Amino acid sequence: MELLCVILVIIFLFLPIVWIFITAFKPDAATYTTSVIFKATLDNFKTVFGSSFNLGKYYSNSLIVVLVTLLITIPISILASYSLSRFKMKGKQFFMFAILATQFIPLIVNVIPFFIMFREWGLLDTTLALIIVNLGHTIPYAIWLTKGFIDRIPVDIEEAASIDGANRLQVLWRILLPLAMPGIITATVFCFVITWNEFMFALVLTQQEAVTLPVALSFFTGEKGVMWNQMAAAGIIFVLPTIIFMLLVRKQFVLGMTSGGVK
Amino acid sequence: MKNRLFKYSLLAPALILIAATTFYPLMRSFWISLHEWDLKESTEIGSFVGVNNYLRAFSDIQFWHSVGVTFIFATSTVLLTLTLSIIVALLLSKDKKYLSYIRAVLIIPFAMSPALIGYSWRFMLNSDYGLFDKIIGILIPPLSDIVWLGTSTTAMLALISVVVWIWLPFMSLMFISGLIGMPEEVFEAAKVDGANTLHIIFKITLPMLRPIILIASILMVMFTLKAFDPVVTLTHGGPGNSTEVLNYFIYKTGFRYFDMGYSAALGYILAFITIIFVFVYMRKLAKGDDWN
Repeated sequence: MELLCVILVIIFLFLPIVWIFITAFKPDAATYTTSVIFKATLDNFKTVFGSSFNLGKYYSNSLIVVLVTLLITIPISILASYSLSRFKMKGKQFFMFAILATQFIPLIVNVIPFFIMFREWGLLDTTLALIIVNLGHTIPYAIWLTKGFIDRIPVDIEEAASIDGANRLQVLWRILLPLAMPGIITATVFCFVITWNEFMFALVLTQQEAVTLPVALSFFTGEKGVMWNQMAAAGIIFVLPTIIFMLLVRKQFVLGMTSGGVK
Repeated sequence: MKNRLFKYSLLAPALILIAATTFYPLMRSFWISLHEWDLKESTEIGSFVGVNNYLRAFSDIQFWHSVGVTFIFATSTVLLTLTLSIIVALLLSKDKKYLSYIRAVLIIPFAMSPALIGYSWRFMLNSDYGLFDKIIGILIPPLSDIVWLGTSTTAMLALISVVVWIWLPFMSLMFISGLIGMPEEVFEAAKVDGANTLHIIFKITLPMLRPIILIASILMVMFTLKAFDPVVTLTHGGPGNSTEVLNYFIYKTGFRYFDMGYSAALGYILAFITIIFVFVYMRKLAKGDDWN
């Protein structure tokens, strides 16, 4: 009975994924059937990288947006959460609450002024525009996540190191950073996922040049009808990095989300 | 003095970026919400109308419709996800070898992009060649002729199911991490005292999971009120406007009709609803008279 329930859960959660995977290898003729017997082909993967879909370009757009966003977000958030965790400051509670509260506000509210500003500055349809808007979303999350982890590291360790003659930044770099690594990794993965999958900004702020992968998926539902097998192929290439990342840091990630919320 | 300079210089870059990418646009958006502005007609902000855009929402049938849609969508999704993920967590948290493998891969569905999931479910729900349509047709033959995304009720059901599908694995993992951390002795003591499984679940497990249930529900409320990708990719708010949640309605007002002032005002109304909801919910749950 219990085993049966477990199997049902697994089917419910994994059948759609398996089906996307199977569809990606289907030739056109078999796509619009539920048949699982067909001659597997790699054509779909070739087509999506061809000139008509240009997945390579969208892929590099997505990579640029994610990498630059992370390169800015992570160091800046580590410094900020260290400062927030270790020093007394006026209005600290208020600040922490304010950056959390911004997450209650639907992002669409910020998309409106950004759309207007980027239009004035000629930044619509650029990856730079996407990086800017993403930062507003990733930095607050990264600060909350890493601060929770740094709070748990005993201050004694730092004091011992500074008695031994290390200066503040050395302590931060050599002692604190390695200890806070699980938190930093959690924050990195979390920010990777929200930026990599980000859909609304990309939908509103890009058109052709700076289109990222989630929006590019809609191009498969174009005038020629819906090409599910090709979309599935593109989809697999698109989600693979996230799946690998998530599997690598699964434990820290769940822990980070749970404890980050408790704090 | 040096200390002061140090702590603020560490914080400064983050402060500046948050101010520039969040607070400034929020202020500007609020300013826009107080004006009339049809972007189709002018690139310049229109005349100041004060709270008119906010008042306009109250007499807008479309707005109330989408408040209703949002309410149905959010409450069903949150309740279903929480209930199911607790059940799944109870099923999968036992100390068995094969369950630990299943737990390890449970994050995979969550790692999928919501946009891809939306499109894929649209494919799988298709009444001509969709896998799920076929499966349901075989299991429950009377349901085989339903065009799932074609009628208001079934499209809403589909949207709710897909969003539950997206969040179930992650929420289950949160509850599993809570369940695994629980001391075994409590359960053994209860068993010795002759408590049955249901008794243990309701009297011991659930109360001990309270903090996680609280976080999970707040996160879920936030996520469902902001849901966008699944709505666009699965139903496009349709058929008609039957799955048009507030977030999508705001998007349509802003970027389909280019009614910027009204759209910004609607955004603030949704923000207000979210904050009230989370606040009331937190207080109620924190008091803890909901179960026991």
